[in-house]
Amino acid sequence: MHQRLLHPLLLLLPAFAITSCDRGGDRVEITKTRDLSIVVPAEETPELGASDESRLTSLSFDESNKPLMLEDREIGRFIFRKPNTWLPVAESRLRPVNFAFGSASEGEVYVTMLPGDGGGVRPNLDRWRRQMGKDLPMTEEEAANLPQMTFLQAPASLLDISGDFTDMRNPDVTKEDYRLLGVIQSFPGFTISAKMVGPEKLVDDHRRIFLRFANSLKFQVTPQT
Amino acid sequence: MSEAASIADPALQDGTQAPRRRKVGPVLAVLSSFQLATVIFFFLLLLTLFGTLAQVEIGIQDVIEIYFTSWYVLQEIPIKFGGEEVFNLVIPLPGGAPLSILLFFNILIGGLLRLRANWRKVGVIISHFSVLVLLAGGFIAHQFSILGSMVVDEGGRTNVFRDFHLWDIEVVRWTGKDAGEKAFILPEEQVRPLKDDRSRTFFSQDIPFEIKVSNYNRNSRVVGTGMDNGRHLQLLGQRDAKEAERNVPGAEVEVINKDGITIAEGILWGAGEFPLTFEAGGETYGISYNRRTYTTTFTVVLDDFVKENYPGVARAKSYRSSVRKLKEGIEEPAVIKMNHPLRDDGYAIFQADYGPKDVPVGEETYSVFQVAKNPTDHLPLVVCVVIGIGLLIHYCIILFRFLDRSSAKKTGAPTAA
Repeated sequence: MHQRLLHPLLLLLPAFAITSCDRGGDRVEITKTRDLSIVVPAEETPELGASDESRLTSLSFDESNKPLMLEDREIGRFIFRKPNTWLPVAESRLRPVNFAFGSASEGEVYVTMLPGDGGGVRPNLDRWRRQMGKDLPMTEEEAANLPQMTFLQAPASLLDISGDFTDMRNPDVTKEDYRLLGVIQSFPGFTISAKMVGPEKLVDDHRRIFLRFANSLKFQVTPQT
Repeated sequence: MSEAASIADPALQDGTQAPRRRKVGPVLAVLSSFQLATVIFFFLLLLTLFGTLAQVEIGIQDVIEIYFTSWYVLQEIPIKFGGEEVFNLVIPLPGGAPLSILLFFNILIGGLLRLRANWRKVGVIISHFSVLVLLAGGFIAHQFSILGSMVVDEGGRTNVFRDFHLWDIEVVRWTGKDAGEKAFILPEEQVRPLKDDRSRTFFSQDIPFEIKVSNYNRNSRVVGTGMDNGRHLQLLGQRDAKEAERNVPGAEVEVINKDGITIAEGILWGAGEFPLTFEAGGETYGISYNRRTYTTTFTVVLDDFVKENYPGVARAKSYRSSVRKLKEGIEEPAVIKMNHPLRDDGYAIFQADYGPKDVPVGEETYSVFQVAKNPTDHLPLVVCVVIGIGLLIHYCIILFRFLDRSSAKKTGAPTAA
């Protein structure tokens, strides 16, 4: 009685093995479909027959047709992600991380490290504004309305300002239609800021990249050996 | 063992009767034996050991696939001599799948042959067969449970969620009959074997072309070849990510019309922005590589997402999504936060993440929910309770029998059989 009941159960063993095999041949009929509840809007679709490069790369290409890819870097005590198209520029004590971008390297991205409070967060933001031709310091309301982002693992205000830029290293020259993105964070003993400066259109194209760069920035109190 | 083996019936071994022997065939004798159970548990122990050690190198999802749902495992053990690796010793082991199936039948057949329907054994019988239910539940969960993520913009709504690990190639007709209404699926299970030189052609009566898929890579990247002014791309395979959900698959496809002419070809890449588009039979089609997509039976509307930080730092204290659940015209508000999922129709929706994290507060944000559907969601808890009850009954029976015998010895009265 038991054996009559149990022997058919044994047939299940090879059945499990058979059902787990890949039964596809060289030609397979498509039998599975799914109803679409979201249709891709027409304005988000590429042109018909678009090439691989225009379909597959979200960051597109820079001015010299190089794919814009992010890479992890470590310079001194700083760890961050940056696009492979940012070119390294000689570092200094005040600018331990320094890059140029754009077809003529007309854009700058750098990290500044100042001792102590570096003059204060708010005065630095006002100083950056003056560099962009805005002589009046920010009102309390303007300061409170600055967008917040994460910089060095803490909330920080992002200054995004357009105007005519005067480089403090060369105060006699003013560059028109520039844009500055800057974020600053003060710690006990030192203050760190990250800035992007360049022609308005160029900075506009790289704004998202700068935010990712600033967001990824980490500072090691003890450098890795 | 040509002769039928005999199995002692332990139910009758209570000291008053000689054990009764039941004749069974040799296959059943082996399948129901304690020796087989011991061997199964030994191999399960080995799999657990190797599977745990493997997690140094690979993620939990891959460990489950390699050790616990596979049919066999080729375990490599590096042999070192003088501090240097001399060779890799390869030990073939049975995988978790055959061991689980054998264990199931071992418990089932062993239980049917050895356990007698006896009120004194009712606790053991309950516990014994509950273990079978637990194993069956594990099989059902493996086969039918779904786990994925749902992304909803603030102010947006969706009933779609995507699998963490599985990717399908999807073909969508954009114009003409049934445009944008359904996707033809080339499932991962049929694409995954197409590595290196292997290719497979997919066809359907409902579309006027065939799709030849080749050069599949589970984790891939797209790089420039240096040709065509640096803009010509190629697909390169790379080592699987430790966290399986980070793998981005890719494959090459060739679209061939009914006349055997190639009308489109290109790379399909999981991280690609847009589908491969082409015209066939006067209609426009798109092919893309997407995470396997499911739909819930209700729609989730995200009204507000709030992230609270600890004071002075960017570390999150809590995430909270205020949502509305829309189902059959009925709107129901809910808040999804840590340990407070939204549950309905077998789906459990948990707060998992938010984004984008690299933009200032105030810009566009979205909420990421983990969606789980498991038909045996509560089964392990229920079965464990039942096993506990069974064991409790059994130990109570033993206790009462012991007390009964003890009191009988004192009084000299005969004990019940």
